[in-house]
Amino acid sequence: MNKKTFFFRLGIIGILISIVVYLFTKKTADGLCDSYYMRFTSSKQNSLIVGTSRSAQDLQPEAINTILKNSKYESTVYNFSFTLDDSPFGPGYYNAIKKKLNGNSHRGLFIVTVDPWAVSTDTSNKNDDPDIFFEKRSFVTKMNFVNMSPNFEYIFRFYGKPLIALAYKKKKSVRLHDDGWLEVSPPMDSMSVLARIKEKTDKYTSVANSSKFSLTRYFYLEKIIELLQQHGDVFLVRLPVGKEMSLIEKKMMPDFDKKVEEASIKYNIQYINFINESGNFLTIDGNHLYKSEGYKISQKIALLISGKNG
Amino acid sequence: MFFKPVYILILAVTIVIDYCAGLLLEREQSLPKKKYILLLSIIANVGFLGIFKYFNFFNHNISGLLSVFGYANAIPYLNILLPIGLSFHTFQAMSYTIEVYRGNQKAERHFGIYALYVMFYPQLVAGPIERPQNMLHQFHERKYIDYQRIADGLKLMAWGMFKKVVIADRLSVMVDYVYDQPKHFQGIPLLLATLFFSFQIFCDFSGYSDIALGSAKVMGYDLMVNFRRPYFSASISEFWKRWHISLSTWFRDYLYIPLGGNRVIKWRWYYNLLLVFIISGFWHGASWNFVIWGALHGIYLIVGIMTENTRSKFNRVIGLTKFPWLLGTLKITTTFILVSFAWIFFRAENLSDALYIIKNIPLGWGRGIHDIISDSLVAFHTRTDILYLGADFSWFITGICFILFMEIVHMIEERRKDNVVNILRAYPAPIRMTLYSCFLVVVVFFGIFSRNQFIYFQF
Repeated sequence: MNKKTFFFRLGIIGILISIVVYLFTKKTADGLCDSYYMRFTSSKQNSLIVGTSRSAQDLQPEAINTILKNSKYESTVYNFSFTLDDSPFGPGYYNAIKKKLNGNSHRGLFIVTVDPWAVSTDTSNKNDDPDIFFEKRSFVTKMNFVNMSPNFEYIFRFYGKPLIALAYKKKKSVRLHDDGWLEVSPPMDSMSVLARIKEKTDKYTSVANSSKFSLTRYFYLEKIIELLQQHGDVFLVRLPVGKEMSLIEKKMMPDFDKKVEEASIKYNIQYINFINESGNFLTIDGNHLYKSEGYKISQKIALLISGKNG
Repeated sequence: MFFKPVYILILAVTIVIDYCAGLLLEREQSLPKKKYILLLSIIANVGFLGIFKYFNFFNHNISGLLSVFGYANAIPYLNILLPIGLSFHTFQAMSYTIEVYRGNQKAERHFGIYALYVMFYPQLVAGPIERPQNMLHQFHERKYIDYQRIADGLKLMAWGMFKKVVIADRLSVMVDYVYDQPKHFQGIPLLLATLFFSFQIFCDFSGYSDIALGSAKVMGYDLMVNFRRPYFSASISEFWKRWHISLSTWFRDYLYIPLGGNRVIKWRWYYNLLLVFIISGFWHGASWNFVIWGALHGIYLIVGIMTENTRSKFNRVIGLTKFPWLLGTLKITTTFILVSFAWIFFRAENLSDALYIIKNIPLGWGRGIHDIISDSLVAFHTRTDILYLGADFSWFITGICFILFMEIVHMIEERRKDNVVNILRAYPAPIRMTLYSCFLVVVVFFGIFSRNQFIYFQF
């Protein structure tokens, strides 16, 4: 085989496969693939919601953007929250937020949701060493390109399923919207809800027993605030949960609110705290609000923000 | 298995020791002195392997033994990780010094070439374990770009990728589902997971080997073939001529034959076989599971030898020899079952799990079949648990289809005594290009790229 034939054949095969893969992915990769992919396909953002699964599921950008559309903020807010396993406060999430942020924006709106879990580490991590934070293995930490559509890095490195699964495997009870809101629609009959609350309560009680406050994570919370403050207004938010969960959190870290208030004073930012309203909202599992409740809370937050800014 | 940059020093030290040993062995005329140099080289190589791979294992067992007599073990455990590829490049280095000692290989004078022989990247991490006679001369030869060879290398790599990301990583989801918690299962899922593991480990390891061979071929180097369709073996003896050939021939040439091989009295022959396979099992990992796996294969071989005449007579008497295809199929199936049984010890997390799996494979079939058929909420387990092993129907069926496809390709290769790339050369280029394109599309669309590293990287 000569050089020309070799490169001609390799080129033809390579180009054909690339076109097929690109077109297929563009057509099929959407918010029904999984709970994370779409967040890595949107462009850099001027305004963000950051946090764990509570903000991912509770805070709906549409509700916030509707109220704040004529406000001073540059553009609509985007939900860049993941889960406790992937985006607690730490170096991984900090770097991911940095990559997602539009460095040229200065009138952004940033909602940073906080809870004791996101500033905790396992008690076995005696030196509070970020090198052994569990999210180091997560895609949030490892992703290089967070603003690409289609995002082949995510699909081939972290999707966990074959490419063909984009076309057929769609769990309709979970949908990731274009604005980053994760809509979860589980069965809401009382038995199912109670079972999920029990499961969550048992799990988090166990986790609380082996968790401790992490100065390193708190340091990264402050770093994130400092980063975001360079590009706009930052608001700290603690979302309401179920009654049982709020009791676990109170027992686990009774001085959590005090720590967050210290940060809000230090950076001269507002701390919007709904934890005392826990139990007043319908949750799907004692930890995450039901979508209509999340809409209400999102509106409340937006009204508080707009009230502060006039 | 881990990679820390400082572990490169281990490789560097053993390279320097063996390079010097090679030169000294060639220069030295006195046999006792040659033996002494060889021994030092082997001790250095095995010493590193012993410390990093086996120290804590032996220490743990000593602790256990001492505690039986009421004593505590004062020797502390070492807080170290197994350097990547240690087992492989140690054996490759030892084969060099042994061949120089035997006079079968001239000592390599160029330090860089010798270092390259040990560190050649396509096979550094998980083999094939090469011989100096095959490799060293290739590093001295001038290489020219050969586009046909590059194309063949790329095809081999693609075939390896197919086995790894399309088959092995797909099966691993289902195997892990059962083998990570075997005591939740009985009967069908245990059997299915074991059979799937047989294919997973083959596809994982031979896939890696194909990628290694293919990438070496692209650069103009020929590595030894490490697998030759092992599940088509008609006996355990044949299996070891087709599975991990570089390791089995290493043990044959450097341990089995020096012990006397089969040129000794019978009981000594059996002892040699058993010892070699126990050590082979131990090479795979510092765990009694691997030792038992190795010992099982040794026992298979011994029993095979002892019953050879009886089995041949039996086959003649019942008329099986008149149907060679049927006899061949039975032999291949029996060999596959024996090998799969041994894989239970290889894959299980510990001895307790392995024994549980063996004990419970025959149990619970009635319930299992009922639950598969009914797959209702009243079933003890759903199809997801019993049949799809934590995955779903599409995952399960594509896994089986790809295994069948691979074995059909192997069957064609076995019959034609040639590899499929050469077989396809008889067809016009457009047909070949279409087939290769479709094949690559299958790899890209059905491959799972985000899963596990290669299994043999841990050795």
